[in-house]
Amino acid sequence: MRETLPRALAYARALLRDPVTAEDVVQDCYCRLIERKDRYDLPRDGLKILIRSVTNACIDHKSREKMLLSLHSGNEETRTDPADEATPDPHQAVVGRELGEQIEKAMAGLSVGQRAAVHLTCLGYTLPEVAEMTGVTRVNAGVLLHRARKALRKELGPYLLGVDHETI
Amino acid sequence: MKPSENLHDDPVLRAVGEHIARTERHIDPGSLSGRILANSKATHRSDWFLNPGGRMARWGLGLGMAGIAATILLAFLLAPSAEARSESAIREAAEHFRLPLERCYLAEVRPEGEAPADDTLPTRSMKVVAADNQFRVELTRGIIRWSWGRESDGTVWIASGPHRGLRIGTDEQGPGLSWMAELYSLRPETLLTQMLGNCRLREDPRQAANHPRVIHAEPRLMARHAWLRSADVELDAETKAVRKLTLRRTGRRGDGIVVVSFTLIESRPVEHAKFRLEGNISEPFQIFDKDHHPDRRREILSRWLGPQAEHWLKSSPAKHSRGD
Repeated sequence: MRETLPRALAYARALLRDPVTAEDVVQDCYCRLIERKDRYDLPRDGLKILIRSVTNACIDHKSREKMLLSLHSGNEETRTDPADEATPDPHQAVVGRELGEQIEKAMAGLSVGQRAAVHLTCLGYTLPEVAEMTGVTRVNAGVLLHRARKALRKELGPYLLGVDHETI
Repeated sequence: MKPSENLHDDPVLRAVGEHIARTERHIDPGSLSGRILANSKATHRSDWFLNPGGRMARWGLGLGMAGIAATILLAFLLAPSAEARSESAIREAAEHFRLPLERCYLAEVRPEGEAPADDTLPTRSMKVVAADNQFRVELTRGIIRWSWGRESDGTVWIASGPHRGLRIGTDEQGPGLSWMAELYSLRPETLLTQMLGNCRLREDPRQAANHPRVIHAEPRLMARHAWLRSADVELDAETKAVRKLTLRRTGRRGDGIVVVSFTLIESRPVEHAKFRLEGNISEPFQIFDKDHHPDRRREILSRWLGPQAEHWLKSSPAKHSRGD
């Protein structure tokens, strides 16, 4: 648990953008996994099952939240978090800001599905694995990742490389 | 995405990956893993937490003991956060209840929003005595005294006079009686264990060291459908024993909130006989139960409770009772 918990918690936080709810979700997922330990080969598949369970729980939570708040309407491309309209020009924004904060901000602008795809890819999972863990088809996973990368490049490109995102 | 593209060559993804790794390194799993382990132990009692009228689930001893051991170990290894300190205090309080003692509480039940009973009125007093899975309620209203209780197998008894009593089996109890029994059944050890796994704990850090600690517990997101809305546990600053327990719980019909408070009066060795009907009435006595004048029970309950008696005792098919 000491090895998998930080990974699961970081993932849930990335998806939900709310550390308190993320803890609740991860706790619940672990408990359900422990309850059903007889059905799974936990040493072999534990992390994958856990990540899949966290993904589903986070998406469910976000969907419920969306229904309650109705902040946005639309499809997967729509941002699930309210965008900060007052965001300054990227070149100005990087001044005095840490990279981590920029990444957090850029990730917050993605939909929950896109965040999941990026996060899992960064953890080293292949596209078929990402598709399996997020419960979408491989094609959909590819689309989510593609759109996420495009949005991240737009936000982080100037900061990371000092060039416009189209040239990366 | 191009099939041949190596995603890890993407500087943006690499930066995000490094950020994720940094975030993971900064996560302290101590408090959460302690709660998960406590919950895995408590899960075996979750039926009771979600539906206190249900049967108590059996302990998963292996997992439970591993959970306790790991939780204690983690508490020593990791610097405790405010919530971890509260958890530690609740754990210590739960330990107290493992001692083979019966505990006597002054109990009060009121709908939320109503003022607490006026302490200057001497005529009303209700005590709940609990030990293990059984309890009894002693009521004094002026000169009238009566008692009722629940045995460990769920049977409810009522001492309706010095030489007369009723016994109502689990399958005969109406919703009103089941609700009352659950309201007064105090299983502090189970409740505290459930709090560790299912509740977010909070306490005022400004409380003076020599004052009782008051820990506020609220069910976590995934346990919010449970009957418990919130609880305040008042602990003795030195011994960590529970001095007062205030529960906000869902009302009988699922609407409204009832506030139940138990204030500890004393702890003493268990007097087992007092948790049975025979221990609360004197010889020669008459006991009415399912097999012995069952209809007299309804008659007696109606005299006390009026139409409410129908909610205490289920209607049963006419049955010939044996004579006295």
